[in-house]
Amino acid sequence: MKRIINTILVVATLSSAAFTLNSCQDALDIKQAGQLEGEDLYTSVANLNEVLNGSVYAQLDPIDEIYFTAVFTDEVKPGSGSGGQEYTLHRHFLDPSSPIITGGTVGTVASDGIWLNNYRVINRVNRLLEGAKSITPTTVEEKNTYNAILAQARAIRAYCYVQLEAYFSPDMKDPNALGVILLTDVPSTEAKLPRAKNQDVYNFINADLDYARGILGNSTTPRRYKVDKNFVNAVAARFNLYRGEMALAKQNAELVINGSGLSLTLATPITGTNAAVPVTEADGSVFQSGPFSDTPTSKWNIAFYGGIDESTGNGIAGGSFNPYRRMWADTENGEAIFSLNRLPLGAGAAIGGKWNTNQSNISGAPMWFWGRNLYNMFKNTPGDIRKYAYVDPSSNPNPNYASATAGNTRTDGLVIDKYPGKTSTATRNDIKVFRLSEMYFIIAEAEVAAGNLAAARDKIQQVRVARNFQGAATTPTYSSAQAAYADILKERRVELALEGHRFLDLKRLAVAANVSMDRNATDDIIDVKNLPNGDYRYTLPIPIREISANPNVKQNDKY
Amino acid sequence: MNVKLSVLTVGVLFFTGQTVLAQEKDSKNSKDKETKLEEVVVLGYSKTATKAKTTTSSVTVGSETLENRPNISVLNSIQGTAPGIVVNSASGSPGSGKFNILIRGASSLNGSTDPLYVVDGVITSGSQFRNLNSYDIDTFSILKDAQATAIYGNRAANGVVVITTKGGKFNSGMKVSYDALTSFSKLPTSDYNMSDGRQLLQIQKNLATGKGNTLTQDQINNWGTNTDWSKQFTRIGISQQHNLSITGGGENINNFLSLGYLDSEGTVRSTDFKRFTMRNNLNGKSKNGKLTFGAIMGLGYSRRNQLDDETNTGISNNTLQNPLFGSVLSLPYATPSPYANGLELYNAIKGDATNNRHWILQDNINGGIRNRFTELSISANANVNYKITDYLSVGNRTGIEYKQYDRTFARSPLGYLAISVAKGDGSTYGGFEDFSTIKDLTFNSITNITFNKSFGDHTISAGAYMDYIKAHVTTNTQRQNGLNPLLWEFGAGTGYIPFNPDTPNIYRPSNSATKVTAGTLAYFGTLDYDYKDKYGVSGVVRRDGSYRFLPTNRWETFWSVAARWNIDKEEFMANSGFRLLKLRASIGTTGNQNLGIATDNQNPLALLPNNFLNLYNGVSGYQNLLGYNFVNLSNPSLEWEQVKQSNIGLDFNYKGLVEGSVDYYQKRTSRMFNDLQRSSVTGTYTIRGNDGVLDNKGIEGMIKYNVIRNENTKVSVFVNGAYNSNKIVSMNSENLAGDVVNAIGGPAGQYQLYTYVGVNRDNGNLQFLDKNGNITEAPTSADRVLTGKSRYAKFTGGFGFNVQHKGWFLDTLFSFQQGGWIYDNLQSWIMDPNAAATRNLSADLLNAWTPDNRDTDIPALKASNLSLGSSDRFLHRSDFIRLKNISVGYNFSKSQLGKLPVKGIKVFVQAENLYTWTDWKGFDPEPITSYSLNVYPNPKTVSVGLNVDF
Repeated sequence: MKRIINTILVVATLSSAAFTLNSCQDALDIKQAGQLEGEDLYTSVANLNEVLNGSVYAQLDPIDEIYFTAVFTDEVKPGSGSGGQEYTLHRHFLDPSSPIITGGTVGTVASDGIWLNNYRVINRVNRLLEGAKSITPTTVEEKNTYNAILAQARAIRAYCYVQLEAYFSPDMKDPNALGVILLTDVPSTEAKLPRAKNQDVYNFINADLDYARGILGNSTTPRRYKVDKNFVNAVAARFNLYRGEMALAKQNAELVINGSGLSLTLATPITGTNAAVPVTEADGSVFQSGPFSDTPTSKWNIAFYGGIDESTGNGIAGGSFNPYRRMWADTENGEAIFSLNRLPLGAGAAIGGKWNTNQSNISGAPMWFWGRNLYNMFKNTPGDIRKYAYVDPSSNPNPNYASATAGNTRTDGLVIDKYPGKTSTATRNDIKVFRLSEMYFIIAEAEVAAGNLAAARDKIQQVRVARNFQGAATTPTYSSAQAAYADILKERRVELALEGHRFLDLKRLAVAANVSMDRNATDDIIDVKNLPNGDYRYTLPIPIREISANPNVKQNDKY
Repeated sequence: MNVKLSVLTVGVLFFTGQTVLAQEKDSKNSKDKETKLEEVVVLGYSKTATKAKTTTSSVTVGSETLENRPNISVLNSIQGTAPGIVVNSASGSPGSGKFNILIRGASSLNGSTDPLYVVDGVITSGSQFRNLNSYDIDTFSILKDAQATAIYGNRAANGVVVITTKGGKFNSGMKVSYDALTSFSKLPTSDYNMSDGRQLLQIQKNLATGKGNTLTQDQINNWGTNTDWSKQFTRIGISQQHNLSITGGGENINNFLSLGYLDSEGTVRSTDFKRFTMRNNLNGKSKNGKLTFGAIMGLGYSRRNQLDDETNTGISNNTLQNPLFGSVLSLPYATPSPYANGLELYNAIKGDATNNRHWILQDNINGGIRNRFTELSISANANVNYKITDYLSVGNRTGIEYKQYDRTFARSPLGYLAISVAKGDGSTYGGFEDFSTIKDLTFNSITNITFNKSFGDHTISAGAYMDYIKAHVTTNTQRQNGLNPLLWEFGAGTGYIPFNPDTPNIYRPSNSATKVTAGTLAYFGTLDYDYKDKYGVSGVVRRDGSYRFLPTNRWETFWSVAARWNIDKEEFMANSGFRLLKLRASIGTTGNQNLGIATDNQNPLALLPNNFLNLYNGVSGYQNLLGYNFVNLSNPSLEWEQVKQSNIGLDFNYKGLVEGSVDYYQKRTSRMFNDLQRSSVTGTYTIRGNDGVLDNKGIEGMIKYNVIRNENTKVSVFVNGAYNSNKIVSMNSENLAGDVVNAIGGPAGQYQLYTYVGVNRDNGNLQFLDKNGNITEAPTSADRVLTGKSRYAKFTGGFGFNVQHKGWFLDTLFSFQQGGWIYDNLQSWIMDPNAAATRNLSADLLNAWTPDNRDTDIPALKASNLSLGSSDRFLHRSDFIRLKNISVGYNFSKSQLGKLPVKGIKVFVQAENLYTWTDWKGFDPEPITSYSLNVYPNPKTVSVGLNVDF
């Protein structure tokens, strides 16, 4: 009996072993759930469109360029809620391992830095173009969609190359100067490419823009959240401006002005109603601003800023009676040629959080305030709408700021409200990548270069008129090219503030305009320094991580 | 500290399960019928050998070290007890999963460095053991050299820890034991010289900022409030544990049953841990001894409330959400929060968080943030072994380990943060509640056939094994946004605000789930040969496969060989007095396929499952529409990381008076798991891959001296220590971007900083050395130099003494480490005048440079280069000597107990971490970390306890 039991046990043991041996390979041949490879994905035009969405649009974000420009130049000063983030950058300590360059914590969020953020998009575009080769559209409709996908992807690639060139090429006006790495296909993981010269990159940018221009039409939606022909022309205008091809710059800018169907967003009306405000008038009608006065009433603040709070008009409700403000609150498109849409929940970084940690008001932990000199410029211009649209009403300016001791600049509370958040999200706003005003500025610059000072003045004046709610806009007659450049730069500084222009503008124009970086003496909690014109730091360093992975890439001078 | 296990000196190596007391009948395999009880060494796969016959380097910690300690995880009790294993606790949070365990140095830079844990013969995915009752553990063995670990080939590159739980004994009658322990824990203090209320106001006034700037000098001098914030955030934690065990055995069957209960309060308020454990270990054998079998069942259920930052690195430096900062950074001139809840607080301060962080942090730990984990663990395995003939056996051990981790997290709708966020986005109801669950099932089956025969002076043992592992890990989470304070109760699902399509951006719930299947397979053979108990050789060959690699790289062979010479058995040593003098040497290879570093609760086997593929994923893309993003750039050439180790060692025992061992080893990791540096054109700076060679070399030893041994008194002293030097030999691509880098020629995790040389007497600026050694006030990243300093201590170890006199005993254990460094960024915060308005600072700043105070080491409060981070100004040594454990007590003898129905009673008082000698200014130098921020310090604990045997 025992023998039988023992035998059974042995057989059972061995057979379980045999069972395991037979099925053992299942421990190694495992296909994970949801495993999706390119060959399964690039099978239809519909999928391709979703690659464009997830791999290209969703990765595109110039927020680091915007933030770098603000902190490094004269746009902002330390805010009352700051724990010291990026003070070193504000003080012009910039090198290849700075987080904004090579990746790390930027502000309070992780980022891969300006360089990689753009190359990632370029890499994804190239993957999309490569994958698209295995898809053959069947119908005409599909063919059009297919072409439009490629055109959008290539236009975005061109935009990214312009960004890279602008920040990393020492001199965009010299076609033979060192450009950036030119990536034209899906690289091997071992790729170690050298930097190309500017002209080679320019040829590639132009090819992309020409291709896209030939396919894309004008946007048909009221909101400009997708790449269309105007985006392509706007990229071309800015690109040619940067590289000094002024005639081409003007030509493309005019194409945008004439073709986009947009007009400069107006600063008027200055009073009116705001239906978004949850409170109604006593008679049940829509909430009204009441009359405007130079120091606005709480009622006007609530209607203008779309607030619910009696004293500050904190912007939570959204909306405004004022078109210019409505554009910044993302209530309507305004003059935006292309914006990256940032919905309250979901993909994309929160641009408002760069300036104000929690909310754009004095108690929302502001990281950065408006730089004093920039603030003075729009505050002291009679009728300038930006005095209100850019500044939160809870701000607490110190009239005696100039005599305050250096540490006290953080009590001179100039709260940034150019990115006021939108309904249900206090710090997220669309990133306005191109706006119509910039096209006017580009034409103005081109006119100066061509010697047409009066035409240049007209363009600047047109923008100023649009931004003035009292009809009080004045632009002097330009006595010289230098005076013209200085005035263009001045208006660009105000109108394009916190949109990632000032750093490049100073690099391009400061010498010609005979100006330089213009921080107020109180714009830091220690002694303030401005970066002199021509400083090597007007070209960014190649990130140390690129250098260490790719010895073929050449570092910019003096880093 | 080797534990004495009682076992017969037999040729048989293949006991199933734990060691059992050998019986007369079993001794027929014994060549000489020797019945002397000898020390046993745990080998892999449930193998054991006598100390004299083992060729391996390993060390075993026994139950007497693990019992009667107030520690939740057994790992907390290991530090300083065994040379060559570094066990540092990175968090004092009760039930924390943060440990730094290194066996013979860090053998991987970017892969897992955790050892492999084997509990009762089954490989476990756990690495924190919060659900394992320390009282149930019989032995805790650390396998170190190649011969010891190669048998576990595929996961043994970082060493192996073999834990064996207690069992019953055949023919032993019934024994009941009850153990109780009550403990009081306290957070250690820091040595930062923090300001009191007046001092901080003075610093603010000097800086013309904050509240101090609004007060007159007179008002500051007479300022009354000086809050001790540590009292608001910390407490004396009271803990208790109770254990009951019943063991018994008959002729053919024995059993061990234990029940445990533990309840522990954390020293930081709002943290605690509760645990219930049950274990039943059953062993049996057939009458003729041919068939042996065992069944092991361990159950654990624990619940803990933990700070969010313990597992959420996103808030580790968030002064609003991380309460660990509360006791240090809160403003001493402010009073504790006078508000009953978050709503009152919000009504008082509105959105002004910056100036009221202390109150918000208080609100967080007083119910504003809730974070509760529960963990259910089941480990069960059954084993059977049958001797087909006297020399041939077959066996199988099959087990499962199931773990279910549930987390409930909420921002209470009554808490300040929830209210503040709701006010910001215009919603009426704030707060959110998360439920997340991880289920982790590992199946392990080992089948073996073994051969074991002696003829003449020769003994041969050989075995062939197959080891199959499959792991299934699934997770799911759900979140509700918007909670109704009237109805909501934590974890109950009540008070959820319904989603309304008219307001699509608020009250929107979310959910997600994941699933990973992982597996490994191995075949291996072992061979042991002994000649006259004098010479022995052993070898292992192992063929390993992992699911993690492409089929071309999937299989790898690992091996080891070892030899020993028992010198004491030679004739010329006959009267030398040496009971044991053994020289042993081994060389061999092991592998590592754990590409990712597992943090709390993760199964390392399931991390980065298909890194060898180019992958897309469907994500919420632009405008929240479906988009396919390219999420993984593959490395198809990914392959095993390999460790080759050679070891030479000596074990000795001189007349039973002095015993110990010495080992020298060289360990070389090749094809190291690493972040391969890639050009940004690939879309990423790094991919995972194999690159580089890393060396660990070291020497370790232990010695125990029995000073007095007589009937009434026993005194012994012991020392163990290890030196390990870690060096990166080569890498194809070096990433020198950061302040902490892995540079060729240096140790892992080396600091790359410029040297701080003090304050410029003329202007109060900081002065540094540039790369040429010249003084500069504006260093750049290029001026950073490789310091040769890393977070890893070079010397580690422990020492102590045991005294026993009649019933009294006094045991001590000191642990120490030397040679490691930590960048104290918490210190950099409290020395940062930029933050004067909103945080407490060190009173040292009152001695800052001014034109009238030039001879100081504190820079001017407004020095222009104050914010530069990459200097070694705050890099400090983490050396310490710690009185890890001291216990004093009394054993009542049977005669003293007289007619009481008990066999023995032991009462004692003991203390953990009672005193630490260190120059480290922060709370705790123990965590192995590059940066000191966000450390929950290990508490000091005093306990009283009782053991009763019935």
